[in-house]
This record gives sequence, structure tokens and C-alpha cells, in this order.
Amino acid sequence: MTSVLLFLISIMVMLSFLMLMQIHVINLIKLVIIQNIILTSYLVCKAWIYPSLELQLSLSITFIIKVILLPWALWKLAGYLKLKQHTESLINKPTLQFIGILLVIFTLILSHQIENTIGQQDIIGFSLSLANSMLAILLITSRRKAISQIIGLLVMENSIFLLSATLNIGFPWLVELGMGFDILIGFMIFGLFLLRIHTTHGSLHLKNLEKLKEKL
Amino acid sequence: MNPILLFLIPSVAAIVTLPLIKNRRLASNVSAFFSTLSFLFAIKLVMNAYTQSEPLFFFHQWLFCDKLSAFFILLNSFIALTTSFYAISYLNNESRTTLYYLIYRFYHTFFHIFTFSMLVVILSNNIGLMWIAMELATIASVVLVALYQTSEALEAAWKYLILCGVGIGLALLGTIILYFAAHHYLPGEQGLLWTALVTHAAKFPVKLLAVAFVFLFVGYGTKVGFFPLHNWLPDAYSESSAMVNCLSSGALLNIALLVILRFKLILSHTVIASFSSDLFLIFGLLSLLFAALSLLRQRKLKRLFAYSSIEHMGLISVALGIGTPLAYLAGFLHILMHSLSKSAIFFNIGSIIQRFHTQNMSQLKGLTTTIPVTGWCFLLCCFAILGLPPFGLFFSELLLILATLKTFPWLVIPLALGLIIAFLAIFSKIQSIAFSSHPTENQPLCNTRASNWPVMLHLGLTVIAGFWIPTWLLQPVIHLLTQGTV
Amino acid sequence: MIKQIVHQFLLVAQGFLIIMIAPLIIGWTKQVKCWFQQRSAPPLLQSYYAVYKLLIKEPVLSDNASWLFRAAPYIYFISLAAICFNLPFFMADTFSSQSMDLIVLVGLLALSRLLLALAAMDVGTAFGDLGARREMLVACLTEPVLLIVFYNVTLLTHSPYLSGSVLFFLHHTIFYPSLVFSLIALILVLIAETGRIPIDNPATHLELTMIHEAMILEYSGRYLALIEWGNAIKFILYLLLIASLFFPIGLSTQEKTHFLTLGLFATLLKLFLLGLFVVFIESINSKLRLFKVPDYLAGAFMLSVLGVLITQLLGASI
Repeated sequence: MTSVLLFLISIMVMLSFLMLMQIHVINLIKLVIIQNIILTSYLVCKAWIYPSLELQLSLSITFIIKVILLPWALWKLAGYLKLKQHTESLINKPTLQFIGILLVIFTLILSHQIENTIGQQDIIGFSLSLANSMLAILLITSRRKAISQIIGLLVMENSIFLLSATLNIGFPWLVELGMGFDILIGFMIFGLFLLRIHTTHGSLHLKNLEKLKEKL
Repeated sequence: MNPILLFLIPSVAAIVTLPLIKNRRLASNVSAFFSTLSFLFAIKLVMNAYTQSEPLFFFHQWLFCDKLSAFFILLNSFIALTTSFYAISYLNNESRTTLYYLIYRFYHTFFHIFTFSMLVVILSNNIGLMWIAMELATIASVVLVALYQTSEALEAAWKYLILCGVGIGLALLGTIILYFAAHHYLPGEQGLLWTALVTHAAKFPVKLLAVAFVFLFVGYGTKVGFFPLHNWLPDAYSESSAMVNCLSSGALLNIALLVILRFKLILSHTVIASFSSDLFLIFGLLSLLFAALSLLRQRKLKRLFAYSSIEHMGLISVALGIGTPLAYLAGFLHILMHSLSKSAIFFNIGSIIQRFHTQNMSQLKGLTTTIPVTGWCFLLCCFAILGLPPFGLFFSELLLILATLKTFPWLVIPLALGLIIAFLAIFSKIQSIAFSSHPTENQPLCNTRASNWPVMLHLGLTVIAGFWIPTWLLQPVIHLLTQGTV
Repeated sequence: MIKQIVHQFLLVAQGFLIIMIAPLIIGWTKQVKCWFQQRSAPPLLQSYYAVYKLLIKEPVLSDNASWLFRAAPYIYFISLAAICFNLPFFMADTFSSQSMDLIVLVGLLALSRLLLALAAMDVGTAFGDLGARREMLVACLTEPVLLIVFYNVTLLTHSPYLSGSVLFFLHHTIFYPSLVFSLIALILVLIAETGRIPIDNPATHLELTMIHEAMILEYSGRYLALIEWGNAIKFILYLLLIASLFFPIGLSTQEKTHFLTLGLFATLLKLFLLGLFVVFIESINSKLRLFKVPDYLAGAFMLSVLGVLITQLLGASI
């Protein structure tokens, strides 16, 4: 069964890598939602193999936030900002992917050096999660649009979560820290809404938003 | 009652009551009152911490106060105090069209959330709590930067949010890896406590610790403004109001450095202690040189002093990287003096920009003739930040160069080079601002006394520290740090 | 002794079966495409009728066609047919299993493509030249991907022969994580090499948008019949590579009748499903502009490299 877990981790890395290649912003949102679902199914498989109370607790909270709340918020944002029409020019797709591959190689070499201190089982999850976070940083730094940067942060949060889930250490504050990071990202999404209100109406004065109310 | 709990109460009370106060004048006064209360309780806490040999704990070891925290608590509360008094006059003079009533309530509430989260960062023993408080401080300061809601302000706030979000994510990664290194010996929540980590650090696997430290350094280093990730700093400083500038450069940069210093202290008992010092040295030097060179190209007043903040943070981290007791003395004296002088500068610049409505240095001329008090204070503050003799910064830089000569003599050359370039850059630009035969018009302000006395208080303190270095304040801290390295 | 003769006979029959079934799969994809587009399809055996029609007609060649132009279709067909004897259909073992390894497979594909491209340039028309150059552009970028995918498979199975790898995957039924990357890369290569949307529209009549069709514009009669059949063989070749390397369930390792029929039906089912999948991808995408094709293929290359890296990382534990 451990091969299923490794399979799911590899799919997550592949999804982050595919995100580097996307031009349409709506595809990024779809890929990050799929990544959230894969992360949750990873936690489900893990809770099946090694049942423990805190894992199940974090699983249920993760499920609610990542699979239900966050995709809903992203879809609403995509609809509001009319993201289906937006494309984004990347610097140069093959170069970007090549840099991504170099970062993954770098992480694998780094983890190879740590290999004798941690066990064989842990090293795979560790290195792939680190590779995922490197790809997330590359995603954030190579993009112009604000929504793509938020998605990069979501990928980074997924990789942090994956790291703490694979390492089997029972990180005591996992749920709180994960929620804290989600609050940060929720704050950013909220900020994007406000930015859009600001650019369409010229200011954030609420009296501008009330114009519609009077017309009704 | 536990002094730590007593100390945190005024901040919580401020956060709870200030959103409800609609009268602007009353809100500023209430905010200043709570800051004063918090400063008085801080003095009590600091005296407690300095007289006892063991640190104080609170809330089953999540919060604690040893001498290092006490030093920063004192500094932070003092700066918050003077800032909230300055805010009374600043907000009074702000024209009604730029800030409408809701903004004032936002400002005061988030100001106190910001100071509260910074205090929690300083006081926290639990590295998870430290991270959460740092994130809260980031969110609060982003709201404060975006307060004026012009499109430049929103863009600056967005860049700040994204870059610091990346930094916070990396710092979380580092925290998890550190816990992973520690969890064999310190299971459960014990592994998150800094006091436990410091005592058991020698047993942890070394390479994991190194990887964790690199992530933590890069992550929290974005908040300090180290070289490759400093992009948010000039933009955020130039778009926010003077009080936020003050708090950011006088308090936030310091506590970000404090957090990295705490992790360095964890590493100081292990084999790789020199690795952490090397990182401090390299990034400090790079930030210093880069900021010094960038200072030559600045045209706007606040951006000039933002780069100056990066330069001084570089100097402090070089001092902390060298690691000898003399270097620690130089570093902590520099932290103290830099916070005081930089906040004085930003107070001053705030009033100047309020009068002239422009940040371009080419349009600000002849201040000493048109607004004598503010103009002369400006000149004196600039001398203070440049490190000229009677002010304390001169002594801290002198001590730093002496400490460098003793340990790494070759390091003096880039250090001196950076200092000289920064000096020339700032000095040449402020000449024409202060003295000119064609002074520019300005709009007069009311109630300028309240905006002048914080500046003069800070300047006075730096002059006093120049003549009489407060070793009673610094010695216990240095003793704690060097004891840790033995 | 009898057993060995029967075994060899079955292997040869397997190769011929693949060659014969190839046009049927093309007919199936056309059928599915028409289902997606809600129109009625030509009969499933239409490709066979088309080949027959072309065979009985007299080929017309231009005046400056050389021997290369006349010989190319034969070499194209023969090299592709030779690969068919290396692919498993109902048995995991193949006729040339010990003599043709994965690199020879790639080489034979390259030979077929090379001859066709040269023949297209031989006649000197503008469109032939255009098609040949475009085809070689796509080929330059897909061949490394194919080689790296095969390299990944070889690293995992320690066998350079296709049938050896298939046997290994049959016996060790676990999810190899790095194979996912190779699978996606191979699907991307499949679409590029067989000339499907989004790279090239097989049903287009606009010469300026053609890649593969433009090369064969000058052919007629029996030459065209051979080339059309060769295209069908190429399509089924890639489908069988995907089906046998990544989903080898159902292939038989013994000569019992029920195993063989099980293998036959399993592979037919897999081929139909894969055809469905290819048509699905064709239907939801639009054709890429030509200068974006290198980006697409670079993505496939990077994915395959990532697969090899993951194999190197995980290799010791799995």
C-alpha cells in the first residue's frame, strides 16, 4: 500500500510541474483544486493504514477547508474577475520548465546527503515535498498576475502540509498552523476582491457600492 | 499576577475598545493612553526580568521573558509609545478627503494589533506561536500600508503581502524540519519550545538542522530585508504613513532579526555554529553594499531612508555574525540607536511631507528658513542616522569596526566602503533640503508641538547614549548570548 | 519440439494479426469521432475498402521522380511492419523479442520517417518540402522523449527488450510512481507522432496547415495504399506500446487457449478504450499553431526527464 502513497505524492509533484506550463489562468485554478483533492486522498489512505486520532481530526478539517471551502472561494473569484478570458504571457516555457527540473535535481541531491540521518521511508516524502515547494516558489516568481501568485502560495501550502503529513512525526500544531496559513491566503483572496472593487469604482468608499442599491 | 500577563492586558484592551470609538480625537487619545499603560507595565516586566536570573514563564511555557526578550520589549514599547503620541498630531493634520472616518478606526485597531503581535513574537517560547504571531504582524502591517488606498499604495501592499507570504511559507517549512530534527528527543509539544530546543540542540542530526536553519533564515530574512528579497521594503515604506514607517523600521525589522537570532542560538551549541554566523555575515555584507549603492540613486525622501534601514540591518547582522562579546555590544547598541534615530527621522519626514505634499527631494528646499524647528531637527536627525559624533550611532559603528578588526581584519574594507558610500549619498542629498536660497512654499500645520517632542526626545536619548553607553541595559543581554555560545 | 513450433507459429501469427487489425482501429477512431460530432460514420472496414480501391488503380508519377520516390513506400511499410513483430498483442512474448531492443524500435521508426521525408522532397514540389521540414521538426523533438521514456522503463525493469519489460510489469503489479510521468509523456508523443489534433489534423484538406499529409500529396495507387496502411500501423503501434507497457493486465504467458483468447479480448478492449481516449483529446482541443508545437514537446521532454529523476530517487526502495 505504500506504493499508492508514493504514487499520490508523485502525482502532486507532476501537477505542480504542469502548472508551470499553463497559460490560461483558469487552468491553474483547476490544477490546484485537483492537487487539493489528491492531498486529501493521500491523507485518507494514510489514515486507513495508520489510524490515529489526530490524523483523522486534521483530515476532517483539511477536507472541509481544502476540498470544499477553498475551491468554492476560488471559483467565485474566477467568476467575479472573469478569469476565463485571461491569459498570461510567461517568460519562456521551455526555460521555465528547465529551471524547474534543475530545482528538483537540486532538492534530490540535497536530500541524498541527508539520507543516512533519516530513514529510507521518510526521505522520499521529504525530498518530494521540498521539490514541490521549490516549484511553488518558481511559480510565484515567474508570474505577473496576482491570482497566479496566490495559487503559487496555495501550492506552497500544499507542499508544507504534505511534508508534515509524510514525515510521520505527529507535528503537534499542524492543524493550527495549516489554518493560519489558510487565513493568510484567504486574506489575500479578500484583498484581491477589494483591489478589483477599487479599480472598477476608483475607490473603496462604500457609497460607490451603494449606487446600485438606490437604482433598484 | 504574572508580569507578562499584566503587560499584555493594555494591548488586548486597546484592540477590543478602539474599533468602537468613533470620535477621532478621543480615539487617538485612548490609543496613546493604552500605549503609555503598556510602556509602564513593560518597565515593571523588564525590571523583573533583569533582576532575576531565571526567565519568567507564562501560560504553560508558551510565553517567556528572559533578558534578551526584555531588552526588545523595552525598545518596542517605547517606540510604540512615542508613535502613538505623534499620531495624535499627525492624524489631526491629515486632510479630511484623504482619510474618511472608517479609516481612522481601522488605523487605530490595526496599529494595536500590530504592536500586540510584535510583543507576542518577542515573548513567545513556542516556535509555532512565534510563526503565527509573525504572520499576524504581517497581515496587520499590510493593512496599515494599504491604508491610503491609492493605486500605488495597494500595489505596494500587494507586493509586500506576496513576498512576505513566500517568506512566511519558507519559515513554516523550516519550523517543520526543525521539529522533525528534534522529535526523537523532545516528543510532543516539548519539541516546539525554544528553551527545550536550546538545551538539547547538540543531540539533533546536524545536516537536518542546517537545512532547517537555511529555510528559517531565508524565510524570516525576507521580513528583515536582506539583500535578494528586500524588494518590498522601499515600496511599502514610501506608500505608508509616518507612524507605520516608524513601527516597521524601528520595531518590525528588529523583531524579525530577533527571531533569526533565537534560531542561531539554538545552533550555537552544535557543530555548525560557524555556519549560522557565516550566513549572517554574508547576507549582512551583501545587504549593506547593495543598499549603500542604491542610496546614490534615490530621488524620494522615504525611499532614501528605507534603503538606509536595509543598510543598518546589514550592519547589525554583520555584528551578530561576528559573535564576540564586543561585537554583540556593538550590535545591540546599534539596534537601540538605530531604532531611536530612524523613528525620529520618520516622525520628522512625516511632518515635512504633510506640509509640502510631495516626497521628491528636488522640490523640498530650504527647510531651516521656512520651518526652523522641524528643519533643524531634520538636520540633526540626519546627522544621527549618518553616525556623526555626539550621537550614539557613531559609537556603535566604531565598536563594530573595532570588533571586526579583532576577528576578521579583511572584513573592515567592505564594511568601511559601505559606510562611506552611504554617508556620502545621504549627506549630499540632505544639504539642499536643509539649506537653500530658494525655499519652497508649504502649508502650515496646527498643533506641531505634539509632533516635535517625540523627535527631540529620541534625539536626546541618542545623544545621552553617545556620552554614556547604557551598559546596564546591554550587559545582561550580552552575558546571556555569550554564555549560550560557550 | 511441437510446443516450440506452435509457440513460434503463434508469435508470427501475432505479428500478422497486428498488421491486419491496424486499419480496423483507424475505422474505430473515425466512428468514435463521428459519435462525438453527432454525425453518421463510414463503415468500420472503410480503410480496408480504401486500400483495395487504391491497389487496383494505376499509380501516376511525376517526370522527375527518382528511384527513391518509388522505393520509399515499400521501405516505410516494411520497417513499420517489422516493428509489429516486436509488439505483444495476446502474448507477452514476441517474435523478435531477443533480437530487437527498444533502441532498434526507435531506429526503425526513424528510418521510416526519414525515407518518407526524403521522398517528399524528391519530387521538388513546394508542399512536399514544407511537409517534410515540419515532420522533421516534430520528429527531432519527439525522438528524445521516446528514448528517455524507454530509458526509464529499462531502469525499472533491467531489461532492454520490450517483451522482457512487459513480462516484468506483468509479474510485479505495483504502481510505479515514475511511470505516471512517462505515461503522460508517451501520450503527448503519441498525439504528436501520429498526427492528431492538437498537433496536426488528419482530416484536413488545407495544405498550409498539414504536417504529415503534405508529404504524401504526390502519391497515388499502390504506393498510397502502402503509405495509408503504414500510417494505420504507426497508430496501432503507439497504442500497443502504451497498452502493453503501462497496462499489461491480461496478456498471456502460456499457450493455453483460454489465456490466449483472454489476452486477445483484453488487448482489443484496451485498444478501443485508448482510441476513445485519443478521440476525446482530439475533440476537446483545437489545433496548436506551429510555433507552439516545440513548447508542447518541450513539456513532454521535461515530464519524461522528471520521471527518470523520480526513478533514481525511489529506485532503492521499490
